[in-house]
Amino acid sequence: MYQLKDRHIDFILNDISARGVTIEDLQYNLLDHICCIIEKNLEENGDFENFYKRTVQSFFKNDLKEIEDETISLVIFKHYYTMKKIMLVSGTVSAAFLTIGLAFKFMHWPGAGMCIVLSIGLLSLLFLPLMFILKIKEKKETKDKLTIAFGAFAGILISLGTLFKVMHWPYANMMMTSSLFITLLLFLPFYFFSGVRNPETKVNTIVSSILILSACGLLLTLMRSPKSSQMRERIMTEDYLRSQEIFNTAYAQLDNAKIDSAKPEWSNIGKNIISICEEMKSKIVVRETGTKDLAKEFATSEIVIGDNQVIDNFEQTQMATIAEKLKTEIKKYNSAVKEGEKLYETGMFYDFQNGGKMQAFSNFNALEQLTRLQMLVLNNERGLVTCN
Amino acid sequence: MYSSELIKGTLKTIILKLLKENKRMYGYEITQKVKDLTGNKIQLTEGALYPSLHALEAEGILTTETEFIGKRVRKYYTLSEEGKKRSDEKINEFADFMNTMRALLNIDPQSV
Repeated sequence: MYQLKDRHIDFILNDISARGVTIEDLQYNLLDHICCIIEKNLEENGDFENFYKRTVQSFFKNDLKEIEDETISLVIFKHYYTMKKIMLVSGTVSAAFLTIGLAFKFMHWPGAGMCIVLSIGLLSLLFLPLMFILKIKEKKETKDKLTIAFGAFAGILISLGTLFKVMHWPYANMMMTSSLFITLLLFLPFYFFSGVRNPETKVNTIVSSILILSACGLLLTLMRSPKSSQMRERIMTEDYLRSQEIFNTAYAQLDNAKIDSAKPEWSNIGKNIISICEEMKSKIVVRETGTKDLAKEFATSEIVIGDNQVIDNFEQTQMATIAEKLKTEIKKYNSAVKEGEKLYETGMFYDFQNGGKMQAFSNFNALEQLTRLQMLVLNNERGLVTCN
Repeated sequence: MYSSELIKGTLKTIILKLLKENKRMYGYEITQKVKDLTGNKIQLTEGALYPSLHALEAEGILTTETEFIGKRVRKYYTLSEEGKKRSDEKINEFADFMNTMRALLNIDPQSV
């Protein structure tokens, strides 16, 4: 019986891992197995290295790593049925939630958002990844594996993009656009050329490719191009600047008229409201454009206000506090003026606590609402001037 | 020696049965036992045995304990509760399969 020394053990273990076996458990199993064989079959003064080499070679056809590969594939295969079950269940649940969520959404019932988020989350984080893992195991060729990888990636991206879009999270548009481009430029060519060569799948492949191409094409058609987005923002910014100009002129005219001591003075609350509105507008503009003098920057460097949700402005600029102040002032103002001169209290973009939906308002809506408030106050004040 | 396809389909049954009777075994021991019991007619290859052992462990059918033999580690396999049940099922299934095959291939028991 051969006596194995520690250096032999180290040598065998090193060799096993050098041959590509990385699972520790498997390394130890093989080590012990080889040691048993050597101890039992090699005579006391035998040639260790030579015997070891012959022994380990009898373990495999091409290389020792085969054992590890087989282990991995068997262990994963064990989970195959569980994974398949989870995939089917998650897919069904996701589809059911999506249906319910959409029905609720159209009916404007509560809970729609939760159903949709749950459904898309399940779809993109459980169903699609599992489908990808299971499908890719069935394919042998690299190009088939790539096709599935691109397809799954694009699928996950487009469904997450939709989720981000409805949740008003950032990068939604980017995710959706890039997923469409991945589908068209990577997935489709791989899919088409691997399928069209096989006479059995030829017709199916062509038909499916046309369907995929037109579906992506139609979606891309619906998307607003970056250029038209810019154009729209330019127009809306110009609109805002114009009404701002009109208001400023009217305000200055009235202010001048009021210098005449015979005319009634500015009502304090009215003036307050105008200046709070001005403060809010300037906060929105500064946060969106980074400049205090938008009129100048717009004329010289084409800086525009982004067509974004005004809600994004609330967290960063203490807008909520200022809005509260405005609400109190408006209440005070309305109790002082007569019917027909009252200012709007509801339906304002900052009034989200009273059942309003912040998401419905873009920066432009908010700016316009504020300008309108100012105009109303101005109008009432002007009325006082002309009446007297 | 039988073909590796035949061994592959029955390997798990062999492992479960051996562990049922011997309680606790390590890899090399299993190959030797099979060799002895079959008079060298079945020789389990390392490339088939260890992947199956690991898969059965992952499935929860086998539990393991390790022992240090000098510098090296020996992994002993034992049937879990689930494994004991499964062992009987597998053996019954295989016995049934043999009967079916016997009928299907028209093998006369006396001639075997």
